[in-house]
Amino acid sequence: MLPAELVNELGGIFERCQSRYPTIRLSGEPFYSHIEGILIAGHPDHVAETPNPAGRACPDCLRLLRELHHQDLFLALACALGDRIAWEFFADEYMPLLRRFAGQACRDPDAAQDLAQEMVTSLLGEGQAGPETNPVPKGKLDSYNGRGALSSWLRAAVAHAAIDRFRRGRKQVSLDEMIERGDPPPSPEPARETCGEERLDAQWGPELARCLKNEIAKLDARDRLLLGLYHVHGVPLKAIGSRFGVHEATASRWLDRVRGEVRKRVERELRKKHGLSAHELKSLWHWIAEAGDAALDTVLQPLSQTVPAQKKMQGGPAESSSIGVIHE
Amino acid sequence: MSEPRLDGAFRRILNRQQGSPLSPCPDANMFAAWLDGRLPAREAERFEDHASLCPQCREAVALSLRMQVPEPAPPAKEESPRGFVYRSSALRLVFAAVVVVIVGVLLFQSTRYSAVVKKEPEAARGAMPAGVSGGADAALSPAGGRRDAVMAARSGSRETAGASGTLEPKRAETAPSMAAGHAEPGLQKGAANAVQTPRAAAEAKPEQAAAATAPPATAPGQPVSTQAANIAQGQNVQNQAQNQAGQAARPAPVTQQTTAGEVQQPRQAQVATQAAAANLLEKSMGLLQLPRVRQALAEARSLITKDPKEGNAKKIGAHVFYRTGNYWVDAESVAHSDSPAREIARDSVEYKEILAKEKDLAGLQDVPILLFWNQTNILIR
Repeated sequence: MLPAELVNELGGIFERCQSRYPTIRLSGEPFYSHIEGILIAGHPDHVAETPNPAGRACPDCLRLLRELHHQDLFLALACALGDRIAWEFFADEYMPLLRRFAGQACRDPDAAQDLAQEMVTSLLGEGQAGPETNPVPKGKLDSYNGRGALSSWLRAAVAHAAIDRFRRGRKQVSLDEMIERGDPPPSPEPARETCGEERLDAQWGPELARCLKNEIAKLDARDRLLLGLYHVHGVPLKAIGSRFGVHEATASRWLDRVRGEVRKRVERELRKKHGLSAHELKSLWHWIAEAGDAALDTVLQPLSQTVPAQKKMQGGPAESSSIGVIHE
Repeated sequence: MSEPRLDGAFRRILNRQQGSPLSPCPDANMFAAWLDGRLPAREAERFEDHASLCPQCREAVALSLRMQVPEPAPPAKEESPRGFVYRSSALRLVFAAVVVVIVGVLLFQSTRYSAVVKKEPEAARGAMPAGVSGGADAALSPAGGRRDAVMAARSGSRETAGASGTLEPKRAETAPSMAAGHAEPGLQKGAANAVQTPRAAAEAKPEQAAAATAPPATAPGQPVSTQAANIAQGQNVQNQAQNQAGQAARPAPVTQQTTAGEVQQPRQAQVATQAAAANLLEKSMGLLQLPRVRQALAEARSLITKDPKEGNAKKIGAHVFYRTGNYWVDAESVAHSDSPAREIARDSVEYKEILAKEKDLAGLQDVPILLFWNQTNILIR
């Protein structure tokens, strides 16, 4: 049972939602119980405990309740419960956005259309509504909890669906098809480059790569994520800056700072452990900068074998196979 | 030696770096909250730690960030071209500049003709019966007296106002006789037309009477649609005003005669110029509003009282709405009746945005609403 303070707050929220969508017929009961479920999931201890005599709610619960996107939640819940008017509102306000996201996720217009259709089907619910079997088909919208805007939730859902779809497509490509298409088949042994005159670099290269890898692993989560988004996935600086509320130039400076820190730490480590001179270090950096992918693979191959296998995770996109399975 | 670029090395290392995130992959709700920056610091850090080690989640984050959320929708597109003209700040500035130029030209002409009148021989002025000047001005046209008063009030010219709007009874009595005298055949036609009163016009020859009572080019009775077309092409209005001002302000032919009628010519031209410009300005400003808005305002003016009674008035937020015969009219709209106006539909995005801020407006659905919003009168139909 919710404390009186939360119940009062909920009443006001429900009224505001109703005035925003006056034609949607959603009673208070399912709305309250849905939000209660979200609060319990967010703060199980605080909500479940017996309310105090004054009926005061815990500040964290109250803050969580106030931070929810109430109107989006109201609309999503009404859609999940099969309200026709709510679906009309959804189609009016969010379908163009959904198509836009699908178009941005897939370059091919047909694939984008398919993806959008797939998303709509999953939002509507798999089963057909029927009075005997399933009065309301449970769609994906039922899982929306209002902590982010519905548009952002759709963005994430489309991204996940696009990645899953891409992986499904990739998995179906056989080795024979790849050879027919002219793609190089994955070689069990990476090509080794013979660099006669760069024996020193070839000798210290693996050590440098190991240090680099360790220092990257020691970075803050956000710095590591920034590096990954920019270097691995090529997310534009503008998009990164937009997420963190800074200009792209600032995002660029962040990246420079992170890379500079990594480099300093690696140099310190190599100097300390192996006594490398500044000239040798510089030569090593140039070697690693100019080395081709194959050479880097040679250097990095032994390292990747020591990395513990990723844990099997529940739910989400990790259920699918890795996206780079064919090329790596 | 230049600094080496390590992009490739970072890419290869990060691509191979598959750590062991301790937490399960976050769901779409967590993604959405992170994308919106709504996660508490601790949860955000946990999310970023996971995403930086989990290639699948990192890819989902990358793809989500690449998807651009569209900018907020531009203002409603269903507005008329005329609405667009007045919403465009650049055109507003041009219009304001043209008004300033017209007023400047009028003031200049006024000064110039005042000087011309002062130079007229005192003998001629002295020979004139008292009040002849004021009477002639007041008798410009059937509606001349009223229009002169409006014009005088607008221009602020004490001399003109005194001559036309504040006639002394004695002077006013003399005006008709003088006007009738000038309407006789043989006198200069322009002067006769200028000083005709309704009575004089009736007594004059038919063609002269027709000329005297013919409406000016920008008569008040001109169809609104025509005026609207003119005003939509702001340049046309400017040209029209300038042409009229130029034609009317053109100096009358100089004659050697010093009769009272001829002395009046420069003053008549000045008054006609000012009247035409005042008329044009009045109509131009009036055309900023749509016909329906004008109608709604006209209906509301009679209803508005200081103490709104239940039934014909509703208070919604900071707005008080009065129910006229066909509209709900915001009292602020009446107070700002000179503001630009436009119409929007109830299913427009703009109305939904307004509704999001003034939710109770949804209760006024029976008839169109005239709302004063962001310095604009908006008719919601």
